[in-house]
Amino acid sequence: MKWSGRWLLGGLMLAAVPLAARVIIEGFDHPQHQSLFVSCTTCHQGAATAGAALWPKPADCATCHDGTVQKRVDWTPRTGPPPSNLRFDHGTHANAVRKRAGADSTLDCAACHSARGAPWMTVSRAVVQNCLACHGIAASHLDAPDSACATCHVPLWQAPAVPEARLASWSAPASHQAPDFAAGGHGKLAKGESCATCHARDYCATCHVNAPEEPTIQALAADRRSLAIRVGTIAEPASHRRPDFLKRHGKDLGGKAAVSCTVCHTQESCSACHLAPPSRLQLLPVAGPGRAAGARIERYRPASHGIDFSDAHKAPASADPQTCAGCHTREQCIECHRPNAAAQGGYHPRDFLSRHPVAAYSQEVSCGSCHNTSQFCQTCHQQSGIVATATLGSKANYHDAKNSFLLGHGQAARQSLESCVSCHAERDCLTCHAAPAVGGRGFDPHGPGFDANRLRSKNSQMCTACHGNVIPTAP
Amino acid sequence: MKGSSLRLLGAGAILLSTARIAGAQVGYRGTIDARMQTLAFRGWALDSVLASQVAPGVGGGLVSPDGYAVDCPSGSGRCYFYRPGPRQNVAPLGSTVDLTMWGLGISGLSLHGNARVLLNAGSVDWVGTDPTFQLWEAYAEYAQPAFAARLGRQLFTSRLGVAGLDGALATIRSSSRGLSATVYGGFGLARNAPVPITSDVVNPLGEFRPPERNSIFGAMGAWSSGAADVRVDWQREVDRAANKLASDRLAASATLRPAERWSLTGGAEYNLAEGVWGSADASLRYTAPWIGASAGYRRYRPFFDLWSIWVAFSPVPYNSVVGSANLTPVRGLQLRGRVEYYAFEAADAPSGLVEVESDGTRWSAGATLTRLRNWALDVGYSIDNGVGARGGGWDASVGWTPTTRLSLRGYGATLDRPLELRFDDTDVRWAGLDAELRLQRDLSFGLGGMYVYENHHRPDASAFDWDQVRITAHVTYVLGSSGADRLGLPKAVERMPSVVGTGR
Repeated sequence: MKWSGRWLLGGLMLAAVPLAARVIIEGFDHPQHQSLFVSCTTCHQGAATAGAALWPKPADCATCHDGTVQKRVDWTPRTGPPPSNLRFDHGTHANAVRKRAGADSTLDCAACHSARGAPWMTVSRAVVQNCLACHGIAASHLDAPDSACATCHVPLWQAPAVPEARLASWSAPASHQAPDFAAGGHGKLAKGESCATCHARDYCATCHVNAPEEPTIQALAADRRSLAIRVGTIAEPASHRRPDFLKRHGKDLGGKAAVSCTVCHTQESCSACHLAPPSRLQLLPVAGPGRAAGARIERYRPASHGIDFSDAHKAPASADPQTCAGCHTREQCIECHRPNAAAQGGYHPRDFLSRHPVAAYSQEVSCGSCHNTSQFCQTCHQQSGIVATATLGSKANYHDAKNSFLLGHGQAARQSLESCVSCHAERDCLTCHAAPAVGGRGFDPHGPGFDANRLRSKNSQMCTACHGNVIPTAP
Repeated sequence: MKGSSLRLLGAGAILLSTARIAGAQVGYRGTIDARMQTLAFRGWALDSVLASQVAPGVGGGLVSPDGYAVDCPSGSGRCYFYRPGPRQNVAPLGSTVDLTMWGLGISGLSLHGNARVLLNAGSVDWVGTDPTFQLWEAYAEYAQPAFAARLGRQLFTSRLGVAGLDGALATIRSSSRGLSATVYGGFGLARNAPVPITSDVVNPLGEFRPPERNSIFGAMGAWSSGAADVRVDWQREVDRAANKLASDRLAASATLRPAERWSLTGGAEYNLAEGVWGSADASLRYTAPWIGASAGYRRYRPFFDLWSIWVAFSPVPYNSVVGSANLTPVRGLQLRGRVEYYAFEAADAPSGLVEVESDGTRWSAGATLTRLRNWALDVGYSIDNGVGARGGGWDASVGWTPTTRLSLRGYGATLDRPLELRFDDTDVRWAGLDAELRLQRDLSFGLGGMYVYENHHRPDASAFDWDQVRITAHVTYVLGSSGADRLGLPKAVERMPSVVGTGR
């Protein structure tokens, strides 16, 4: 027997040689040693005896792994709290199992650490399904109800040895995969202690702008490690996809839905669009330390701002300028409506200098909406030589594409009078159109819609420019 | 005026400094923007020769000895013509400062200023650079939910245009009912200028003008709800020297939203002084995520002050029908198109000697592609078969944004532009590159260059080709007491902070 034991030990040693590379540093290869131990408590005395060490001492390993019989191993038993958030005490569980299975550590330990029917010392960390079975939870681990977490787990803050890396590797329960879980479903579940199994206040505050004011979140302990669990992308709520959302969201903020706005939005997220912040903004929290940044709003061009909106915005901007003020400052209006001589482009397309004769002749848009035409047009036309400088007919005919343009310019003048006055002064026209009494040639310039009596009653000074002091009375 | 404006800005700066020292919760938002551009233009120079020197040219008309078509007024003894003018280089440099301050110790009180300094480094003046210092706005505003008032130089915007005044404005409003009413009055500024009408700056040809500043006053009433916005404006200007009307106008604007995705907007102006309708428009619009379309009517009639003689020349309006649509068949590709037909009302100025068109069309089409990451491609074509001129050509651009801080944009275009009222068929080609660098969130630079080639076709010696390089540059700095509300319009998308993952 003695020799047979030695041969057995020697055989095991020989068998162990090719596996020398399997010397476990962070753990222990239990199956490799299954022929050496008949009891778990040989090494794990603390699993059965209160106050005893749970792990073997290095000297226990060195009994064989002395560098001669076996290669030395580097083993240091863990000290301090376990790197786990299990709500577990070996003594309590061992007693419970012992009552059921008898004082046999091989059976007691295997109840949790071995799968049913597994060979001796084929152990692992506690088999979760065994825990669930004993505790009456008829579901797989991650399918268990959220309310059951606390059965086996302590809150994260009570498990200080759990490293962030391990925390980040934990899988999320099936309930967390529900489509509406991130957007709102989790709030209905976040009532008990279960959330605290993996999460802490810091985690909630990642998204919840109103975390400082939310009792459920404040009930959680603070723990920065909880940030190791990453948050999935959170889509905007369905309400935000309503076609009239942009138009109506201000009213929502003022109503019962205001509370839900505060979950994701700070005042600053409104300021991203509302350059003139509405008074209802005060209902939202102010961004700052200790508070999540919340939904990041980036402005976009509203659907109403179609391709020709720069030309078509007059009516809506006139009807409700407050809507414009939601996104646009007066400065921006001025920037377009008061053109900057030092800037190229802007409202007009590039090289509008070349394009502008067409747009101006046909009055594509009103030049006078933004430009003081007498200043803007005449200044440049003067410098370009495109301006009448003397009595008509005494110099070259600029309009040389139309023979006798002077004699037939009436239609062009009435259609594009703004273009005419960009080159011509009033005196050019008075040469012919003033009454003979004041030195003109008496060509009547008055056309359709001219109400002489009405205009004379409004401003007779204008009449005297052509008629002098003898203003005829219209029939 | 210039001195008082500078003093006003100085007072604002002192107030800001004082408030900060005193520990007041002064908030401010400002923009300092400096821009410059260089460009050149070339007009026409009037010249003449003795009548005895001209001779019939190829087309039968008289030309000068060096080939210019001439016009020989009877009895003058000289013949006149236009030769290409000298090259005129301009290089305007402008800096705009916009500043808003609040938290001045009185809740609801704020100060606003907008001023611009313009210099010209070119050989001739460039439009809009005179006067050098331009104070557009400088006013104090006191605003409460139901009441607001402004005092100082301000711009009042309405359907009737942007009116500048040195005066006061008061508004009462009920947010719950969507109602507001505004009255304003003061001394007016010249239309679209930072100076009064008495300034030489706005009267380069020495036309008739009032010797004193006009007074301006008006009123506005508005109602706004989820289904409709309606506003009525009345504005009157008085020539104080003559104690006569300079203008008297009424306007109404409305937006109706009868159904989801549909809106009807429009408005009209009525000239109370002349007793005629002015410009008007109405547009029915449908907007959906992948398509947008509008159809509308537009009428344009220029407006002139009563102190000028132009009112008596009876400008006639044109009426047009407009349609536009944009389509997004696949994400990242947008197609667009617009068409307009317009016709002037009867001018009642028949002449068999000169034929002038009275109607025209404008249409354009284009596509924008943004499917490629960081790239944006755009191409468009437009034609304006107008009255008095015709223009048409291609525009194309390629934008590349390799980082959020840098964007580059190359572009090119063609323009063919015959003018109806003079022998001048011009074709222009240009291409350029713009770079925009956002050095910090609130500091950006821009630099651009464009090469322009211009060719004037004429049947005489006035035809000429020439080219030029135009440079643009700008620096924009945005400053403010808090960061969130002082940056410009960013790009789209709403999403949560950049925490991504699968919820493990």
